[in-house]
Amino acid sequence: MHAAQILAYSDVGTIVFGWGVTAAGVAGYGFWLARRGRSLSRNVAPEDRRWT
Amino acid sequence: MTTLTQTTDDTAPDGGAGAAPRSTGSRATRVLGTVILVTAPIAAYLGLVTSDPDVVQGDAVRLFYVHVPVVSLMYLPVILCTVASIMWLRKRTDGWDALASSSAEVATIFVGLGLVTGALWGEITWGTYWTWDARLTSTALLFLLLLGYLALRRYPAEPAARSKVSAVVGILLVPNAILVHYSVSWWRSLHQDATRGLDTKMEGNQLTTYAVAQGVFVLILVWLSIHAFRVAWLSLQAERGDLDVAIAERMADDDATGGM
Repeated sequence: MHAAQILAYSDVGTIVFGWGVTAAGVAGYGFWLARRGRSLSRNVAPEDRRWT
Repeated sequence: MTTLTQTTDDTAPDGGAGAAPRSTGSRATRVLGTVILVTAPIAAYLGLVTSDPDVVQGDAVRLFYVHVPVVSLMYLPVILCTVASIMWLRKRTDGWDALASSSAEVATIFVGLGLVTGALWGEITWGTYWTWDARLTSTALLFLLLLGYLALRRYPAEPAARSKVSAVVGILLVPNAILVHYSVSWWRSLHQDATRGLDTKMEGNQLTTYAVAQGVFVLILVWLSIHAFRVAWLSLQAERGDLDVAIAERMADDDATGGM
């Protein structure tokens, strides 16, 4: 029902793309940060990464 | 004996409550991340489904729920980068250097997304993705300046020299952001004035949707900023470690050559 409602919007493609690109940009950067942090943590002494 | 919290916690192989984490995550960021994962779909539901279309903009207002929060928040990491750059020039500590670097990265993401969502909104409302309007052009300049800053940060040079040049560029960010913010007042602009503020024109479920979306993006900004800072910090420490190893190897080589 919601999908049909959204599809009825004028310029639905542009609106959904705008939300999608924002979500993808934020999530992609977040994942990249998490992976890079995990990778760098292996090369840094424990005393230099204490943020628990 | 490790507790359930400790085993699920991202700690070093030696375990224990005092062990260093093996990632940039911490309990606080995991809680924050969980809140974001719960509230972001709610914001999307409100923005894409329940919000009423605007009387003037129609359904294009749904893009505002991502565009306005992103653009309004992009100034924070930009200001932070400039402040940290000034502080680094005064104190020369890794903390300020990492803060400047990480803030610029987060600012680039927000400014970039602001440009993209703004272009999409412009296509619906103005009939074009891009026009050489004062607000759009100054924002594009800010984006290019941030890209230049990030390119400098990755330039293979002596760390202190690189940080110094980066800091000088970082100081230029806030004047550019001021230009972006006041461009709609200083020049004749196609872009409207600030959408929100104390005298907001929004009301009803549009205001609720906007408030929820703004809140979610604040949380996202905080989460990204914390992780980006920790990654930048780790990067500086790793680089310093590599440098120490290289110096030690060079000294060992010199000793060996001198002994021959």
